[in-house]
Order: sequence, then structure tokens, then C-alpha cells
Amino acid sequence: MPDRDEPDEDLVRRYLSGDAGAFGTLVERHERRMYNLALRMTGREEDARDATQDAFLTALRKLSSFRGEAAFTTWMHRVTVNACYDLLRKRQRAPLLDRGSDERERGPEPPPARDHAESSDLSIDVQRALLQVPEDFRTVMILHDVQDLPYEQVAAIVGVPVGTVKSRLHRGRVALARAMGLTAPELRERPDAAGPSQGTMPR
Amino acid sequence: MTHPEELLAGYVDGTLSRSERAVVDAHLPGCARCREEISLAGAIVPSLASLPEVPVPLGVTGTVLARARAQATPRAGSRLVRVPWAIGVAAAAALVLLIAVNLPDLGGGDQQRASSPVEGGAATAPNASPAPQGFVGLERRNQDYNADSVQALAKSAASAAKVSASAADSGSTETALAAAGDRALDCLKQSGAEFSASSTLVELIEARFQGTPAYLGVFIQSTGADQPADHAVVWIVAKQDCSLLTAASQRI
Repeated sequence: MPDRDEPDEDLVRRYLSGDAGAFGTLVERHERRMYNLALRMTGREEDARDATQDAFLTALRKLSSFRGEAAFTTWMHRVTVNACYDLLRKRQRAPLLDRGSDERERGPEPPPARDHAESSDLSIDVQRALLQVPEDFRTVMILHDVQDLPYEQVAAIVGVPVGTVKSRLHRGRVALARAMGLTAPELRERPDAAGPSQGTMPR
Repeated sequence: MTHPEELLAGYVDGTLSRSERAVVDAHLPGCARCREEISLAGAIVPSLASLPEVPVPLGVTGTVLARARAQATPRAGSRLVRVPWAIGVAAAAALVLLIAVNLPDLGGGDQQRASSPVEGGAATAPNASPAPQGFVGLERRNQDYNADSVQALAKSAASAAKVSASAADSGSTETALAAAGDRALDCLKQSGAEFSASSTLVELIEARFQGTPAYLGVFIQSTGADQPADHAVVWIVAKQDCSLLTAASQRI
């Protein structure tokens, strides 16, 4: 039975020594973050599933080359980001949220509770706008602003200097705000616009 | 004008040192562009931070776990390949069929049904209605599932699967699993297959998968709480040693 506090790097060593369960523990620990990273990167649940699966298959294949220079979690994020880039390049199409096609197929959903609806609408708007932001900017925003990773770890994942991460982060945020339809004059006129309930895209 | 671009994200985040912040503060009064950008960036960060973390759908890592197990303890004749989600695999198509076949026979509460699993065949309900589905027991089938044999069946079963999904309930899995005590279920649980509270076991099959005697556990689940069931997931484990052979998911 794996120790819940056992470091990732020890689990890697145990797997390479023939303990299949150790890799299962690694997957269990990291799949949620990797899936959510992929979901935000690709904007489609189906693509997120593929990218997550590809990322862990790649990790499994390359695990023997993992030397521990970086933390496993950093390495795993890098593998997942690359899986997303590969998938986006391969599919070369404008990703859309599943919600659009689902609504067309099923008809309208029953109205959810008001708070839930507002939260969901905002999330969907942000997700859609994210897809309009260049991938390099989107990646650092997701890693830093969504997944709350520090600049230095984002730099290690993406493989660029910390200063580049900070520049991309700023450029990405501005691009995202504009994709959401926010403008500075509007912000000045609506001083409460900094809150998460503002800035929905025009439908 | 040179803009302190590398400092603006930190300015918004409040992570600048005092000297760095002084640089930006000195720059802003004379730069409308940077003032505007800081305003925009500051407005968007809370929206990003509030994006919800969603649960991983069942089956995403099943193939990976199966391969990890296979590589750690190689099995003769077992070759696992990446499962293309968009296309599904033989097992995914099979479960569409299985749901469609069993739905008309189901009626009454799934909790009640879960507590008395039927061995050897599908249960029948005289007053069948579009009631929630539940685990009905182990069914033995003299069938060897593979991609070719289920592909044609998947097409004809697709519309029926949608009906079954709309009628699906959630939350009965744990009860069903706990009540059944069957070796097939034990096998599924031991295999590393992932079950969640929002998944419902709808079918348990003893058959073969690509020639290997296997148990097939068929689940339906919703993506999130209070959502209708929208995915069917099948786990296939080897009968002999309960190792995970493959897993697949199919949008309903």
C-alpha cells in the first residue's frame, strides 16, 4: 500500500523497479491537475481527455529518462502542456466548448439555480475567450492565474526565463480582457468591474 | 517610451519589491497605455482564479494504468494501445448496446434492485417504465468482444443509448458494489478502475475481450453534480488475475 506522503520521485523509482502500483499512485495524485490544465488549454472535454491520456502515456514511456533534475510535478506539467500543443496543432480547428454542440443536440437545459447559472456562464465566457489568446500566453495564464503556480515554476515548465513568463502573463491578461469585451473606459465608468461577475462576452 | 512590461504582471499581483514598484509608480502617470493595461489585467485575474476545477471523467487514465501494469508485469498475449476517445473502442460500442438492450427491462428503484442482484441474466420488470437504471446482476455471454463485431451494433443502438442516458440516475454504485459481493465486482475494484459517487453500474458481463476471458463493468455517469448522465464508461478486467485490460468512454 503506497504511503500517501511518499514523494513523487520515490514512486518513480519504485515503478521503475517493477511496482506497477507506484505509477497508479502518481496518476491518482496528478490526473486532476493535468486534466484541468488540458481542459483550459484546449477548451473541449474530448480534447482534454485525449491530451491527458497522451500526457500520461508519454510520461510512462519516458519515465526511465526522468532524472529528477526538476520536480516530478513540474516535469508532468511540461509533458501535459506539450501534449496539448501537439493536439492543438494536429487538430488545427477552432475549439469550442462542448456546451454549444450539446445544446443543439439536446435542446435547452432546465434553468439551474441563479448563482450556479451566473458562475457557469462566466466560466464558459472566460474559457471561450481564453481560446482567442495566443497559446504561449494562454499557457502561462492557466499555470499561474488558474493553477496558482509561482512564476519560477511556470518558467521551468515552459522552458523560458522568468522575465518572459511575466511578460507573457501580462500580455495574455490584457488580450484576454479584450477578448472578453472589457475596455478601460468601461472599467473607469464601472468601478466594480474588477469583480468576477463582470466582463461577460456579448452573445 | 520604454514600458516596464516585465514588472506589470507583478504590479497587478502585488509581488513586486519596493524598488520595482517604485519604477512602475514613476512610469504610470505619464503612460496611458500602461495604466489601461493594468486596469484590464487587474479586472481579468479574478475571473481566471474563479474558473472551477472539474473532476476527471471516468476512464481517462484507465488505459495508462493498464499499460503501466502490463509493462511492470508483462502478460502474454496482452497488447494495449491508446484508446482514441473520439472514436471509442470495441468496449465503448459494446456498452452502448448493453444499455440499449437492458433499458426496456428495467423498472422500479435502483436501490432495491441493487440489493438483490440477479445471477445469470437480465432482470425483468412487469411494469417497466423509464425509471433509473441500476445494477441487475452478472450476465454471462458467449461473446468475444472486438472492434469489428460491435461497430455495426453501436450505430443501431446510438439513439436508444441517448434515451437511457436521459433516464439515468446517479448514486447507486456504492450500494450496488457493496451489496453484490461478486467476484466480478471485486475484480473490478481491485483492478484500479475508478468509480465515483456519480457513476451508476448498469451492467456486469462475463465474456471475452479479444480472446481473453474478462469481466466488463458498464457504468453511466454525469460530468458534474446535478447534471444528466452524459457518459458511459466500460472497464474490462481479465477474469484470471483481475488486471485491467482496457477502459473506454463514450459520450451518450
